[in-house]
Amino acid sequence: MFWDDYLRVESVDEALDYLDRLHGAGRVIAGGTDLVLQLQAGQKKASCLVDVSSVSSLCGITHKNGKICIGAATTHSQISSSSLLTTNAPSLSEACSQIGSPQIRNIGTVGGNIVNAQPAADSVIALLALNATCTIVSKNGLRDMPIGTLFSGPGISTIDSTQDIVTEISFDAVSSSAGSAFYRLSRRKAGSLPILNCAVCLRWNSEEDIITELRIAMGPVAPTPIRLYETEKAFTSDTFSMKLMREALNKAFDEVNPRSSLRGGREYRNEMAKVLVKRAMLKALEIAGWKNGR
Amino acid sequence: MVDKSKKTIRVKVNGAEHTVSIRPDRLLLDMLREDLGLTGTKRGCGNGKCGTCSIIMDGKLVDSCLVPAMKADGSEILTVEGLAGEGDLHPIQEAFLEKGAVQCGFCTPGMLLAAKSLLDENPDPSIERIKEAISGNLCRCTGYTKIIEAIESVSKGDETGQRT
Repeated sequence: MFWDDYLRVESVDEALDYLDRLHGAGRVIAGGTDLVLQLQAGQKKASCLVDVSSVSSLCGITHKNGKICIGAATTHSQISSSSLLTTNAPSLSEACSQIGSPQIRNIGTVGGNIVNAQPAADSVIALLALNATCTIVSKNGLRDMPIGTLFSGPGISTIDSTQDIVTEISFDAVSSSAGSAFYRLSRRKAGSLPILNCAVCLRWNSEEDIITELRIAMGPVAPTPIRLYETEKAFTSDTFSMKLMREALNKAFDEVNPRSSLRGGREYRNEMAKVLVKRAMLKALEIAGWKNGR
Repeated sequence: MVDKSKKTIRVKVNGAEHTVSIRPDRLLLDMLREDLGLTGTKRGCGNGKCGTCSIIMDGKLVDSCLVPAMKADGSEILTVEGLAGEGDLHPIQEAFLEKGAVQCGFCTPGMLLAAKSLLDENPDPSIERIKEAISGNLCRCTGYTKIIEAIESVSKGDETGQRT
């Protein structure tokens, strides 16, 4: 048997109690679109699955005290169709609208995408650029972790789903001078993993023509989703111009370290990283109020 | 004798209530096909790529090959067998026949449900929206043009009941 027992819980406390009693033999399941296949293939083990997808406190998107909060069991469909997110984080709506297929998006969750820890997890790339914080609870208490600290290798998360539950993902709601964008390169428009994906979140000062705050995230160009810190520095080092763009894109070329895989070769990915960063930057700048060619 | 390794779940499938005793690691697809005998839902790739196992669970289109049966406890499910009424095909089924949108037929159950899921939410979708709605369903015969035409004809309210 792939798993011996399956429990559906109504609250986070109930789930934590079960996980505690199972001493590592239990595992949290939400949408299960990745986990079911991994359990069938023997890549992950669990004697009992604890299903948190119907816990109401884990579902939904709210705007409180300048923060956008997303319950970890919110599905990709719910995120991509949320008008609150289209306004405040178009990069995240766009990222979630490109995951898998409609069937996968209807059941797969953002919390699951994080825990699954793929180097090019679309929602994670967008959340990394949004500087999101994940709230994780276990029997030992609650911790708020920056999303960038949750990955230690391809498919390896520091969240231990035999005892931890991701409850919420939050980030600052964007102001009118800010913009975010997400671009993805893949072989097909659906049902296809990304060859590369890139998310950008920035703040624009139109008085001084300068990018005052910038985060660029990219995958899969390292064993985990990463920020391009050097590229960010280059973009914010001077007043913005196409010359500055060219210099910064060269930094991006140096900063990424993709590998060759069936989806794309190292050299191709390395070149295309520049193209994707450029597209995402131009889109985010436009949203933030930058006037092209002024 | 009661098998303690089995769980009892209740589901409403195509309007009928069922109580099923099932091993907790069975998938919804297998429960539908093997326990309820509803073999209209097909197994294709078995890993959520091809969409031929698509069903509508509580109003949402999902791949039943990725859904543990236990997740369906208490839910309402529509499979291809539940589309037609007494003696009448569903307008989407009529449109598929009218437009020749069925070739080998293996993808058809999933395509029909993807189309229903779209039209329930948006009765007048654009071609782009139709393409997106069936983007999780592969047709090995590559008969997409006719499938898209069929879905469009339902949304336009074309006379689909008059096959010749």
